[in-house]
Amino acid sequence: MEVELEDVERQLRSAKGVPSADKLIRYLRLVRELHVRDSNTVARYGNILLRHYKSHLSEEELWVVHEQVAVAALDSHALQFAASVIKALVRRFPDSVRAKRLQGMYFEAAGDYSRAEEAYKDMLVAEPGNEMVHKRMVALERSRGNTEGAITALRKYLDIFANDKDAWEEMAELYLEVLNYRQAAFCYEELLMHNPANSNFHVRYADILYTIGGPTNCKTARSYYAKAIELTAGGSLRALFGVLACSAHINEKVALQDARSRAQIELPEVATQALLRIYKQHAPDKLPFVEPILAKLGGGTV
Amino acid sequence: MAGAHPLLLSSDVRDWVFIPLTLAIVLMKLLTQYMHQLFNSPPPNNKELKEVREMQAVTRSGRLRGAARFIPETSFKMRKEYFAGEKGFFTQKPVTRSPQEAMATDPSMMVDMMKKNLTGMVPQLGMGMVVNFFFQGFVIGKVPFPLSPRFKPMLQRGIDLASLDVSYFTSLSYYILLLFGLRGLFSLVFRDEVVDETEMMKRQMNPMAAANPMGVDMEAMFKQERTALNAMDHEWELESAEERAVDLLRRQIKAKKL
Repeated sequence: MEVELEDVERQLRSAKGVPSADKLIRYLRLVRELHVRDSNTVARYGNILLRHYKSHLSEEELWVVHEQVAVAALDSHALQFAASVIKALVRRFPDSVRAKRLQGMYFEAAGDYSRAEEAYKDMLVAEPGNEMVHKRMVALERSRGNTEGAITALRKYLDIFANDKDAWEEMAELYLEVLNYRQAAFCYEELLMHNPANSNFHVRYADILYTIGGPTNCKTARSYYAKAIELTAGGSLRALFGVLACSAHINEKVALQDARSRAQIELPEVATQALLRIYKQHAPDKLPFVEPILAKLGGGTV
Repeated sequence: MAGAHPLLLSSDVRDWVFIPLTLAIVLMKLLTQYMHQLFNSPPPNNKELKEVREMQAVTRSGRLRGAARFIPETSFKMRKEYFAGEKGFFTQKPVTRSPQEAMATDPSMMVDMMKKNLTGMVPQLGMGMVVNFFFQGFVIGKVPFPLSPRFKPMLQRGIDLASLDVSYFTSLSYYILLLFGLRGLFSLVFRDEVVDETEMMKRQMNPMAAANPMGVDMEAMFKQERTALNAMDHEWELESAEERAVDLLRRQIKAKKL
């Protein structure tokens, strides 16, 4: 499908004059299905489609396209065009929260935050269970630069919709912005449970634990880095460096016969070897910088 | 039978039975359709926010039980305490009422159901009576193909003539066929749901089963989650992750894959 999208886009770009209706419709449909964010292009072709070929669209698709184009126009700051599209939508669906949400987004894009907030609050009174509007509130606070407000709004949302993976991710991001590492770690724990096979979550979680510091956290962090190495088959440089950094902070004396010796002694060694090999192969010019770091981290012989 | 004399039907039967009957049924269907739309206008979106929250919490705790081995033990214990502790989420009484309770305290649901049934049933009963009264006992047509005698009760309702060829059908059978057969036609005209008689019949057979498919006994679910969480032992999947990583890196280095 991605290939098809590129294909259609190329055809549209090379078309002289006004492109044909079914090409435009096909393009917008593909963008919708693949969740591509290419707002400028969408706004441009959507404009052409809505201006010339309104009658080519079925009743249902017409309004879906309206919504899509309105969001794209707001995204590319074509406020006047967006306003006209949103006006058409609101006229068609005067009671719809979905249309009103677009109005609120218009205010947001125009920088009229207080009016947007008012609109969203009205919508939440009418329909307190609307996830989209809750999320808009968070986005609104973010664009205002009010991180604390965004955190409060998002907490309220997550208290109800506790299974929204993207929301947990955003929450972690926000907590990291205000340097609240413990809460961020909590969010990443949720994410780990959502998708235990995602090595990025493991690395991020370990990063946070390492940042909090302390021997216990460092040990846990090392385990998560190790798991990330396992998941990426050793391909994650961040995880390899993470293992070394954590090991440098754990100055536990272990005898060679000890069961823990493998983690404490062998893991940094092989991690160093792996890093050296990767650098040798992919970026030999960086080796002179990496070698002293590795030596300093004490990963055995370099 | 095939060699029997064809029946000659008076054109009055066509003018005074066939056409009025068809018209009456179509009009009645239209009426039911509009009545249905009128009564159904408020969408059933009265789910309380707190109910959503409880449903989501149950899902989340289910995931916690499934994926607890990926988070450290302290983190698991914290969540367990939150869900199943002394003052935990699942120790409180849920806001969501069980379907029986909701049925008893909230009459609007019953009224809704009554309305739905009434809009479907009353015109149908009325029509049945009218058809029985005015149009009974007419042979109004012939299907253009021979049929086995088993079709007799289906096509010749209201007329008990053993010698009549099966391919003739009577007004009453025509009424019943149209009643159920028009649905396909109507679904072409009305975009959203068309009143489905068969569905309505099913509901009448067993009103309790289909009454509230969304209703769940939240209290029982809370209890179940609580006991399941309490009975759970945490096992950290990453206990041996470092050793495994060592083995893996060794293997990768040996295989010259890094």
